[in-house]
Amino acid sequence: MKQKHLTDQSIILEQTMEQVMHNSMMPFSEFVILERALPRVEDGLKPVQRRVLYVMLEQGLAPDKPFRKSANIVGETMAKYHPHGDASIYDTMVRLAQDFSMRTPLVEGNGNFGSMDGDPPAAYRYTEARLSPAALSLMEHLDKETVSWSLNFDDTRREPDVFPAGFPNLLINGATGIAVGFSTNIPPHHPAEVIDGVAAYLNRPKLTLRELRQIVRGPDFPTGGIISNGEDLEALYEGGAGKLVLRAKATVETLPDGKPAIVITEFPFQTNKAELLARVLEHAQSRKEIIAQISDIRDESDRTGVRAVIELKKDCDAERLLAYLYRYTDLQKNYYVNMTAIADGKPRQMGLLELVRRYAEFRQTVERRRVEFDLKEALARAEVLEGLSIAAQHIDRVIQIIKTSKTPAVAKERLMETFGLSERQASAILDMRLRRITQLEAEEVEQELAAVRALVAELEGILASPAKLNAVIRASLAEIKKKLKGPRQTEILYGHVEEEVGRDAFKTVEDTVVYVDENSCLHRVSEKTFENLIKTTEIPPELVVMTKTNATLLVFGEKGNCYALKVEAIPEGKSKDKGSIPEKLMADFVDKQVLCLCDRDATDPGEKLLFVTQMGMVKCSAFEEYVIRRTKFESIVLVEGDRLVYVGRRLPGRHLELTDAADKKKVWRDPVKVTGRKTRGNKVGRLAVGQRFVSGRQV
Amino acid sequence: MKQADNKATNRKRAAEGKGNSKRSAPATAGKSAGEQYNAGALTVLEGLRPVRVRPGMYIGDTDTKGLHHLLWEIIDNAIDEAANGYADQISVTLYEDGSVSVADNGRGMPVDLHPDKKVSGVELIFTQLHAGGKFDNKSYLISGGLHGVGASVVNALSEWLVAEVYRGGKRYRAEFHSYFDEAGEMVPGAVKKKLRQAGSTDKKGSFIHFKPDPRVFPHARLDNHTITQKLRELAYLNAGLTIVCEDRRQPEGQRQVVFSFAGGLADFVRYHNRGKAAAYPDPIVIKGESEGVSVEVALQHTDAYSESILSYVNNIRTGEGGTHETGLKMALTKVLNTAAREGGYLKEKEENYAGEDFREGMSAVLLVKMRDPQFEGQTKTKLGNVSVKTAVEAVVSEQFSRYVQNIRHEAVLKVILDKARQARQVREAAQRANALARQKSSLDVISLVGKFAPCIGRDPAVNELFIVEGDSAGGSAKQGRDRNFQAILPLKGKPLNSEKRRLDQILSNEEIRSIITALGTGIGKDFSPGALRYGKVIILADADQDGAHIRALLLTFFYRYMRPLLAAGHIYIGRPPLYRLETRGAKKEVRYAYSDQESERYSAEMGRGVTITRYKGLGEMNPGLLWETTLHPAHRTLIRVSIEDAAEAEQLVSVLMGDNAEVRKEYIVEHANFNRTDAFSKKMEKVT
Repeated sequence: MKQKHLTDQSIILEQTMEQVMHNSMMPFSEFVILERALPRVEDGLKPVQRRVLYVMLEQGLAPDKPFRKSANIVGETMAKYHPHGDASIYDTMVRLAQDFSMRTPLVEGNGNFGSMDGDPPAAYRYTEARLSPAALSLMEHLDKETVSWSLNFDDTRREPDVFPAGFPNLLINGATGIAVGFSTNIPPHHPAEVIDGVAAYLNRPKLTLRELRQIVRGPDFPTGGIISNGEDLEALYEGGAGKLVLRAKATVETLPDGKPAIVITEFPFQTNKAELLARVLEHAQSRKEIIAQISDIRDESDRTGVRAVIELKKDCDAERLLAYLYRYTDLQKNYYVNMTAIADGKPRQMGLLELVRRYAEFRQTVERRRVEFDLKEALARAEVLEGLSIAAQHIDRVIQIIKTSKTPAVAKERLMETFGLSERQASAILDMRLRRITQLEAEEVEQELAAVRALVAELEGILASPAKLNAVIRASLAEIKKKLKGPRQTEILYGHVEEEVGRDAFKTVEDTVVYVDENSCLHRVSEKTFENLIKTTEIPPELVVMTKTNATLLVFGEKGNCYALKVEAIPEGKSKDKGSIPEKLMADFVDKQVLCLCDRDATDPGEKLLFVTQMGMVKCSAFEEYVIRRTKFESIVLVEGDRLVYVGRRLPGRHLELTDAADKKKVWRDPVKVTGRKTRGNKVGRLAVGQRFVSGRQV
Repeated sequence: MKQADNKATNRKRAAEGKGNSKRSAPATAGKSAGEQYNAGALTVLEGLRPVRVRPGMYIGDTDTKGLHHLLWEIIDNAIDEAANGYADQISVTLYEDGSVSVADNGRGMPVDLHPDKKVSGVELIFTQLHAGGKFDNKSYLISGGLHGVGASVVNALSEWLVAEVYRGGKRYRAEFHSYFDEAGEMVPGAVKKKLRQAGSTDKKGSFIHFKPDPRVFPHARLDNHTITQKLRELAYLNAGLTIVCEDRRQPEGQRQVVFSFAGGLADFVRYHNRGKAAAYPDPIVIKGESEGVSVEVALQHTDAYSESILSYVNNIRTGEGGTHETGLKMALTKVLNTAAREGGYLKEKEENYAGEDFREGMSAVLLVKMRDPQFEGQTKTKLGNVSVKTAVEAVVSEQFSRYVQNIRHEAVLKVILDKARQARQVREAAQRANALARQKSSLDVISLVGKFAPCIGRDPAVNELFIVEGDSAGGSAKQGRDRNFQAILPLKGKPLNSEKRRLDQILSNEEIRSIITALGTGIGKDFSPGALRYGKVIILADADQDGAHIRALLLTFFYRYMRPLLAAGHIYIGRPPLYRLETRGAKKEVRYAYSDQESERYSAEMGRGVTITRYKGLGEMNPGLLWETTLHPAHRTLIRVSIEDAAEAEQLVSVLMGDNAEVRKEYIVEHANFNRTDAFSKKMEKVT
């Protein structure tokens, strides 16, 4: 088809990849850091959280009002303030309502809001929500010009940049987020402790971290649990980063039927309970000796609380098993703290003291502004009341002036002139209802005026005295503390020593037999199987070792290499099995043939090993030289082109019989000198040119 | 006389960089100029004037690149002193008045009189084209500059130039300037003060201070970043040389940077790899000489997935590679395959590894020094001398074998060979996956039915593919396009970050597969840029920050897996409008602005009562609007993406998109402007 196209008159701007990458990623990174993933240090909220809560406040969803459909809240947030996907807005709101995610929930939810087992919440057309009392405290005084505001995304409305933060939300509820280049993970804390900490700072700004830590003892998770490395908290709170070791709260109980059981009542923070229990089961199943101890794993949680039971076999060492589970499953896990938040418009990692300080200073600013606002209003009110009061006192004159004025404007002018009133006062008088001149009302005006004047004095006093300001803040914090009461959930252990439990702690050691077949493949079989096997097959003694499951073997190859191999690495099989090729069990195996197996630990170190090479070198070395920690090492020094043909433990009273390529046999009766591991040995007399040995044995 | 007038005008025009080829014929009234083309019509530009008339011939252009070229020329001369062992410190200073100076502590330029020309060596160097010490291979064995032309070119294009030489305990000084004489003719690079002794000194070397003529370079500025990058690179390439860069235009405390790398290329490789995790602690260093070619290599493997070879010949970057790179690659492959066989890493029956298997994650810097290099290729950055390949191969083979056989390096060898094994596995797996994908999509474009909207025409030169963010925008684009030559491929969600994944993982991502299928080029081994179905591949994302992220992700994919498309200029970025400005009332006017500045300008022009709406996403626009402002070839603006500094691009992609969050954090902290407020909202605040 004939293609008619428009002439290309596009304006082409040239930019290099370097410029575009920089100019694309930098704004994106800045955006994600400041406006998405990281909370502000003052109110501990990310923008999406703040917007949801603000919408709920605008809608008047106070705790004493009815719930409202989530869809409504989500939709309005998206329309007015948050031009992104609905799913993330709803997920945010849900999380704010979960009592296992938030130390102090900011949203009260009605309906299915998810669970510790990772069940998803119901769709937003089903659930309902409203603000919690704590949220109200967080947003209190928002309408008193206490914070800065910005225009929303389409510049049609205003939204607050931060909340007045009646309580230190960042530390109390914590935060997690991954931005670009920066991330944050702040654990939640006990509300009363943090509030007391802030109060202490306000009392004495020179507070040290150590003193603060007397009050804020450590993180406090809504899910409880135990922090077992309390001694690391000092450093963590100093720098703002560190590792916490969280463990589930578990006790050993005896069930009614007499069997021991591990009962878990608290799980580590942000752990999916169902998944964790499933993984514990998986782990147990992958290890014979562990699953042998466990008879059942049950999740018995219900509306009365969280409870999981690991039922054990009768004679199991429950304490030890619990220690094992702590060590090797997520029953105990590491929580990496990174206290980063936006401060002064930049992401910053901060220690505990700095977080408290910044909150306290912010709170002072907010409180000051609130007082200034209240003062402004009070002064305005006082002004009006004064006007009214004056009017009441001179009511006849006032009426006369008004009556004799042509227009309201003239009346106003005259009133202002006559009594020295301000415009506002004059207007108030003109707007006054006649009822005001009754005695009762007039008295009320005086009373109110006195009260307002007192308030003005009080407010001015607060503004003039930092100490008074602090007192006001402390009082307000104390009020909130009452609302947020509740005991500490997470226990902190100091100087706890990890129980020593090896991975193989429960492994039982059994007898077993390992042998090498004619293809140099290794087999591991039970003693019984082996007994049957040698009835029909002959296996040279050098290639068999009766050993135990926890032993380490030495494998000698013809190139003069010796390898260390754990018995448990060799899969157990039956006699008909093909066995395992050496390369599979030992990654660095480079020989072609296995000549000998020895039990490294069970062989008497005084024993000697005999080596015979193709070209007639014979060496005898002490076994203890081979008991070294390396996985691959030399057993003998070989001449170029030479190789071993026999390796074995020297049996006393026997001689060496060597067979060459032509099947001629040579017997060596002389005692062989004992030399070191990395030596060549000695020549076995004279060999004919080209004579090579192929095998040997002790007879 | 007419002739003289023309001469004057022409010379004046010449000084301003305008040229003329023919002048009207002399004294033959009545006959037309063209008919009178005889010897008198030829212009002979003498002295340095050719440089002013055609600066492009000498320095490329008169924009930023050309301006910096002046500086590179002088620095190259200083580097040559160092490379030949006479100097060990170079200082570059940028002054507030736009001038720059380069000082070295070498032998100092010749101050004695030239036997024939009877002027001092210094004056000769700066006023005569084609004068220099680099022609006879006696004074300079190896050099990288314009072979003697550089210094005089710089002088010709500078407003003034001061040269000082410190030699034999004495200090000499000469001054030059470019000016208009009484006849209005431009006299470039003339001697203002002849070279004379100006005191004594215990320094040695040369000091050249010049100010590029703003009449030649009206717009360009000396860029601190560009210069420091180049100096850093030169310091790496010349181990033991100290380069000091002082920029007096910067605030106190941020003025001076010193580069000195005793480790030379090894340090360079370490720097290059700083965004990645090294696979072994120390770079492998190879130094040697063969047949008059000196070879120096430093290489180190990292956990990244692509290879990166930076090659240089006499300090000149050879971005297009060449015979030296070929020699290096062949030697590495040979030595490593041998080592693999000997060490049992390759079983007998297995085939040898391919060269690329060994080079996965490898960063290497190769520096070759030789006489008379021949440069080929599109941008003349490809080394062509055939003999160099054998020389490099010989040196690298010998030294690298020795390195590899050393037991102490066994661990490193194991790491490299393990990586190669993995790389081969991945390569083979990817081939299989590719074959599978091709089998599946042998029905080709049909597999994309539903999402992809192809265009009717089949002419790649004309066709365009728009890769659009989201189905919402995709719909508008599909409805708004010209279906004859514009195809639309909507992408759901954010594309995969190709920097953190291997090829087989990338291929299993549906969005990436649809891009590959739509483009028609295949990928990896089967990548053939010639099969590209579209002359322009245009990324169309929203104007918001997530759109920016999507742009970056797509560019990363193209950079890593389809770089030839980027290099050939096929990748573009669409520019949707940011604002709509409308005036109601008497004079109804609607305009679209593409940037904040444009918006402000239009808003001022349109006067009061202008309503400004801001577009947050492509889905906000009607299809017709999208067509008019963004898709229509007569009205739209496109940004073509090119790669200028490959090393820098490589760095950026790996730092911004790679695995190492620490390095990314450092970059962000250094470059981010967290205090930047939204200009638009600020303005609105004032209004409302």
